[in-house]
Amino acid sequence: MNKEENPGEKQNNPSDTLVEKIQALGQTNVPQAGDSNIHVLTIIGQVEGHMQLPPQNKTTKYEHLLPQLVAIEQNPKIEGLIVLLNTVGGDVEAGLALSEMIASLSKPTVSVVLGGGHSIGVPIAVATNYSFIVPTATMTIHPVRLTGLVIGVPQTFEYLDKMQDRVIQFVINHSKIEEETFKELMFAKGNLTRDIGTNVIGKEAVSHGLIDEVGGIKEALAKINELIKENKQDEKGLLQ
Amino acid sequence: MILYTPLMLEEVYANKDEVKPERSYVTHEGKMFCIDKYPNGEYRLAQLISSNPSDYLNENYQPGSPLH
Repeated sequence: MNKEENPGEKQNNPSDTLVEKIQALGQTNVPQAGDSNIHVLTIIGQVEGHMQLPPQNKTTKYEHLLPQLVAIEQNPKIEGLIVLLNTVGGDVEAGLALSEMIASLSKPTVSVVLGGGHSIGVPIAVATNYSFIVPTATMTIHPVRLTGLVIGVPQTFEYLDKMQDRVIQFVINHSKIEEETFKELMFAKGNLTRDIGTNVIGKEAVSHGLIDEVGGIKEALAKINELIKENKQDEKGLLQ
Repeated sequence: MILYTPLMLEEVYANKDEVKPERSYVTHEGKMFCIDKYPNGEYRLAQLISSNPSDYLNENYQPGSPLH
């Protein structure tokens, strides 16, 4: 049998399994549960797109998430999606791809920003039907920038400007923030030491209209269940 | 990245040059797994990639569990 193809197979000796479990998790057993009607996408570390990052980076590869999003849309047993974010940003186009996929799902979606939802994490967070941020989480809003060799300065500038505009448009279309306010935050001086932009924390993100509410997993689950209920009632109404 | 810890950075970054296991991605039973191959020929599950939260409770899919 091929070794790589059997990650789930149990070992024969029970004491060996127990020792391995303690080594791996620091505990002997984990709770069991049936299939959930709510699925979860965790977006952690860098959002990895066209370029593979060096192995010391923790990344979320968008090519892994896109098929999952298709499966979530297609599977009738899945009724809702929670997106958990703790990301430092990453590839603009990969992030926008994920945001558009989440925004175009027909099923209810809720996001929770934990720790950080920086840069390209902002459009992903606002892509859902309803967004939460925990009180200690922060989101950095700053201009899209480029490092390295630039050939053709005006063209590169225009390309970057358009790319930035796509991010801005997505955010203002999917959240309650005004374009003016978002641009002000993005180009603010004196907030970040080595960059222009703003770092908004928990409540501030809500007061700017970027995120809908301050809250954690309890609030997120309550909200998604409420949205699922509404969604079901709408479907019923259409059938009658 | 910002570290907020009383430990010395030397302690945190110790063994940075250690040989990293070879990493590969495989799909099994419709789920994606990130698998590490160690120099001694051992395979261990590094990460499960699934949107179904109950998969993460399956004890056979816990990170660090060996493959046979």
